[in-house]
Amino acid sequence: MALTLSTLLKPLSSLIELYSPKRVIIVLFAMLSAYAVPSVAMTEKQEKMAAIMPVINMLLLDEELPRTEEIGLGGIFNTPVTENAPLTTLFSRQSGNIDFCFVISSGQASSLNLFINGVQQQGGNRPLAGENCYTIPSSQQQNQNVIEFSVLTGSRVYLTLVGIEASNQSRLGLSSLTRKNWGEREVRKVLKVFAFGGHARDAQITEWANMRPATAIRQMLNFDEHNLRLSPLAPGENYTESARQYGKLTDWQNFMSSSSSNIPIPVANRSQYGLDGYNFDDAFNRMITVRGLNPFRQRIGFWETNYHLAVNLDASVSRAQMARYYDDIMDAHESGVPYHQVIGVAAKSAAAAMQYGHRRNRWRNGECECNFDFAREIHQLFYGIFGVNDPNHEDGTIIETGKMLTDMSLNYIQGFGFPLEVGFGTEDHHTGNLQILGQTVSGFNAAEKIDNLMPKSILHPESLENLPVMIISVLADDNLNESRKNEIRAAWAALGPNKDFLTFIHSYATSELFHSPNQLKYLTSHERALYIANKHSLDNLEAYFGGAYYNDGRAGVSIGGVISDDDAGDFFRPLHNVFGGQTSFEAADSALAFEQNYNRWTDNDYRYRSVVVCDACDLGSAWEKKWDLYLPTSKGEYKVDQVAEWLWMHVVGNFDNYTTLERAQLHAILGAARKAPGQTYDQDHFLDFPLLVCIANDYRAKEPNGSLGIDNLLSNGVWDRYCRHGDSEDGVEGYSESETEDLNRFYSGRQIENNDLLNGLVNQLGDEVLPLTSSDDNLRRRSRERVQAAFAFIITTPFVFAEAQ
Amino acid sequence: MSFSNIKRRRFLQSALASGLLYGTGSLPALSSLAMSAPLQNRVLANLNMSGGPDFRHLIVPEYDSDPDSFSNKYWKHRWRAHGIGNNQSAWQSRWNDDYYPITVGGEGWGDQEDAGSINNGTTFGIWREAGWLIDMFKSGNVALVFNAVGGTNRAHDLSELMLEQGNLLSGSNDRNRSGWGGRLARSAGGNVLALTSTPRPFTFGPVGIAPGYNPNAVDNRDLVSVENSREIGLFDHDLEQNQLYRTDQKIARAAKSYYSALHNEQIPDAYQKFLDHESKVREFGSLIQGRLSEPGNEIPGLIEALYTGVTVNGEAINPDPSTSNPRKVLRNGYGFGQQIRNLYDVIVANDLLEMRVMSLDYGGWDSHANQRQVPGELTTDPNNPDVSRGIESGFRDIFGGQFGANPTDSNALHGGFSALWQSLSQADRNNVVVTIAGEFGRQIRDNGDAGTDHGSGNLMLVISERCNGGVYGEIFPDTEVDKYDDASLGTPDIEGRTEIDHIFAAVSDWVTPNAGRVVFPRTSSSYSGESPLLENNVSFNNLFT
Repeated sequence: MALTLSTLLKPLSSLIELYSPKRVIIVLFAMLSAYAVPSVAMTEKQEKMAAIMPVINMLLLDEELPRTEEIGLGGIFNTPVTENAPLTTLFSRQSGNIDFCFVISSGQASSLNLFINGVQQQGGNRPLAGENCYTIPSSQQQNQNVIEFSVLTGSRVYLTLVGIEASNQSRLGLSSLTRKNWGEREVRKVLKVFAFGGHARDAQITEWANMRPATAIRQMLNFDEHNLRLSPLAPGENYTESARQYGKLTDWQNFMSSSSSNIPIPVANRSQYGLDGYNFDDAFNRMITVRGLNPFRQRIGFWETNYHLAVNLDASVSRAQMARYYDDIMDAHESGVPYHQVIGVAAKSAAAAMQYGHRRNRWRNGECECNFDFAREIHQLFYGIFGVNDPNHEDGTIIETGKMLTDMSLNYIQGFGFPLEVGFGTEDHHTGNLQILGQTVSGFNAAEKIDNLMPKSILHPESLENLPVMIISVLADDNLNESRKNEIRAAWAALGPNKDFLTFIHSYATSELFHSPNQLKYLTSHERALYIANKHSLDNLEAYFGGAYYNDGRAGVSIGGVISDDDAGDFFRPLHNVFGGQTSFEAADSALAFEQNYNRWTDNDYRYRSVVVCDACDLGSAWEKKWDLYLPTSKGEYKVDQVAEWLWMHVVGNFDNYTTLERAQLHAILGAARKAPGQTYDQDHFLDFPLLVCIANDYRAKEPNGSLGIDNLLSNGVWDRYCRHGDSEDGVEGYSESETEDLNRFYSGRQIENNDLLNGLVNQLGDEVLPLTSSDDNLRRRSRERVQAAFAFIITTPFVFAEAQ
Repeated sequence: MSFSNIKRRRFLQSALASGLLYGTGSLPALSSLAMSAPLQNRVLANLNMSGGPDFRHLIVPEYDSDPDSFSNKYWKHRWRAHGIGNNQSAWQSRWNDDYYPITVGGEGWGDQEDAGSINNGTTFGIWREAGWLIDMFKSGNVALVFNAVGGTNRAHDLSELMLEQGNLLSGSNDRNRSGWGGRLARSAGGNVLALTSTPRPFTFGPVGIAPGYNPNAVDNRDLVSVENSREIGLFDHDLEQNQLYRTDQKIARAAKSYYSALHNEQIPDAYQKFLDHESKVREFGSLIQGRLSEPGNEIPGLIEALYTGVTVNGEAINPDPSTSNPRKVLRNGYGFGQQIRNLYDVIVANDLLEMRVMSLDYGGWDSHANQRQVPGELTTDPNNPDVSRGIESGFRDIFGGQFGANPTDSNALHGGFSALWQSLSQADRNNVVVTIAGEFGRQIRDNGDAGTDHGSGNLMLVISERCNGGVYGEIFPDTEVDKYDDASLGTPDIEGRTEIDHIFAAVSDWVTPNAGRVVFPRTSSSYSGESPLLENNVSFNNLFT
């Protein structure tokens, strides 16, 4: 019997599990018994029940018996395995390759024995903690396949999500990831691209990573106003209303601006966030950063209203109309109506009528007193229909569409402004049939005609060609070639005439296409600012503050400041007006955006150092940024190397570019704090890696017999004496020549690895401990500031500007 | 496997289809810091007016009461867009009051060019508040190219792509091609400077070395972004200060040290852009700041006044009449005004930057409604920069001002180019050409919303003290006369007769000899495809002296 093993990384929630590899094993062997087992596909609810029932049974029966489970494709169950209760799993021959997967959720993985069709999985094939997947090729399957689990005497292992599925799957014609290649990295990528990172904690990410992708994606991305898996409240959260109410933009702005709302912003500062306030931007971006709502809903809402169906607060659209526009579009998405109806909501909106000016269009005396702006853009921007090779497009379709858009009134209301809904009249409407896109469009008024046109538009050949590419190219992939575009087009076409947008996104987000090395997404300034804010903020106080200074304290990071500094165009004031906001390429090509980001996180260190503690910013009470609730521990301690890795994964989402180079800098920032007993205030004065090396070299030169151990280098009398500015021993006013060279020197990763001193320093620093929970206020605060500084360093790297492999 | 064992980055060979890769470590050769010198080379400054500017609003036919004349039909079908009444008297007043008349071959025409002699005797008017343009034209420094084609369709984004790439054959899937500015810079062996908030496709360079480069791919090794010439640069540590107590400097040193090392590592292609930004902003920022900080290189008052209140010799350049406080001159001061400042600054530092092409933009020309606005405030405060005048605000920002010893309006405040021209030396001006274009023109009839809808042909401008000023192409084509009243035509527009290749190839040749046919391959005699359109009897062979 030959065995072929391949492995994929599959980090899990606890630190040990986090770096445990996911195992994908291809099983080739001979076979044993034969039972006929029906294939059973379980719903999400059934999966939950399957997870709960074994526990209930155990509790009720208080006995453990050998268990046999017959499973089919899609079936999932959870169970303990004990000495007295081994598990036998059976499944019948399938038509293709099969992945058999399970998660070792608790217990000693090393005590678990696994036999597949009588063959014990040993050596590199042994199951490990976390998720394990074994591929069983169809050629090696038997009529009845038997998988047996047992444990060593006295051991107990709990298995979850035990099940089989086809190795090759597709949705809408797109090849889909399966459990074996769906893991934490993939989950984080989806969250980064489709949910501004979201707020899910590690345990939730692991849970999703262990699920079937099709199941996980439904939990991750939906249009509910609140998605508490994607955006759970922080432990002990004080500001919880967002988890239950105010999921619409209009309601949210009213909530934020109300003097009676439970938010940490002082009452005197709230009116700016209301519909009548001036700060529409920050009101909206808090909808994405405050926990309890749904960042995916806002991701799509932002794209719809600022890119695909963009309108502009600077083009006479009022704030109230904009909020209504947003809410109506997202309500339509949430209701699950076909996508052409969602677009129809936008086409009939007051915001669009204000933006394009067709609210003034009249059909009078057989003439169209019209502008034809929206008559063109409803086709081009909403559907991607340019009229290519259609000789009737300019003088036919567009003129006729202009007639369709007549008598859509928005009569100014004294004391209120322009209304939120269009009045669809008939008196000045071209009531007769129209020929648009080569088809007859009828309707008593503009609304009826729009409703009749939309299903035709979405099936227009140019729309089928362009709209799906417009969706994916802006949301998720800047690197589509014609072949990949064709895959997307085919998936879109497979949705039929009533296209379900969410199904399309789900299929794409779990596809090999999205998760391939060819996919590349540069983050716009808005996306990056929101992503960083979501990665930075740990609770709702920070999110509400958003870098502002209230009650003698600052918290969170600014989003509007990034947008403004980058010249990226405010939210709802798209840089290119109806053609949409800043593009991914514009952001990536903007040296200004790079420069501003770099300087913000280096020069302006107060932005991240002063936001870890305050005496009264929480409506008069003290507040602390609780990194300790999120960072991993080892034996109760926050070790520098683990914290550094966690921060990198937390911000970047993968370890592709986490090398010695990054470790050296992060270990120094986190761990090179002075050891000054009794002077804990000084512990904030960490040393960057070049400065630490400068001290070490200076010390070595002057004290050849001294210890270069990190404890010595960071102790009083060393850190404050060597590589010292204005050191009289050096006879210079500032730094000596050699010190200057050291402070300006850089080391490649290879140089660090090959240099005993440097490599030793990096490793020793990794073993340092951050006193994040110290009872000493200074120690606790300074250690949190060092975490913040490490966060800041990561933000200055290239890897926060894109999602790419 | 522990991640601490990862010691090598994965290097991906897959080329990005996006193609917008920056060069890796090919900073142009930099001269040492020195006192500013006049422009060392001929340079192009290109202004993109995105949105489809209605130049038929800036330059109009002389009023004529003959109902069959081009002029009368123009006013009959354009009065709403001008915000005036629907009567002959209003049209005539508008012409008389607001347009400066110029007759081809008439008094004062001098030896200006009328390419092909097809406009002799035609009178047109330039909007009077475009004083700098009028004066420059009268001085023979402006070539007005009529019936030019920047994009062959009426879709903004696709037509802009064509215009900026200098390729009317580009399709919506061809976004990964070089821009004609980038190609010209490569041909000239210099850099292209984006003075905008983000580089436009016009600036994207080709792959390879001139003349054999590949125009259908992008390599931005020559592209330098100077969005704010006075603040460009990366924060750095300062060893004059004690490093022990400066968190900002420690992080800055960590980041600088990290990037320095990262430049020598292999990282995925997608991230190369950011390494490139780091090196260019750091290096060029240092050079530019060094130059601009030298005495004598302060921002000229006229240029600074474009975007902020400035007082010179105790007098505000543009005083607020109610407070006498100084205020900016341009409505779009923050955007266009600062770009003009950037342009001035990089000319001051031209010997360090080695630029041959600069890119500017001014948007907001999609005037479907209320194309001209005349708010009441202008009666008492005609220089109020905060009042929207429709597209006339933009025309004023760009073309307003005066030029020469006897300007048409010596009281006019200097607009963007006017302030720049006034601030440059003659030696600098001799080496600058400005090109101005939008992606398409607008329809010849206004719409029912006091605006104009998308069209095709349009006016383009080439401005230089070394060009043969005049008119190129039929100013008001006879073939349009019948279109005005033809009800069977739903969307009549200006017929495009001259494709941009000819115009800008001539400009390219002036910037660097023999570059035109390389930058615009369709103008090459060896080009085997369809030649670009060129209006009958029009030639650009003598566009420059």
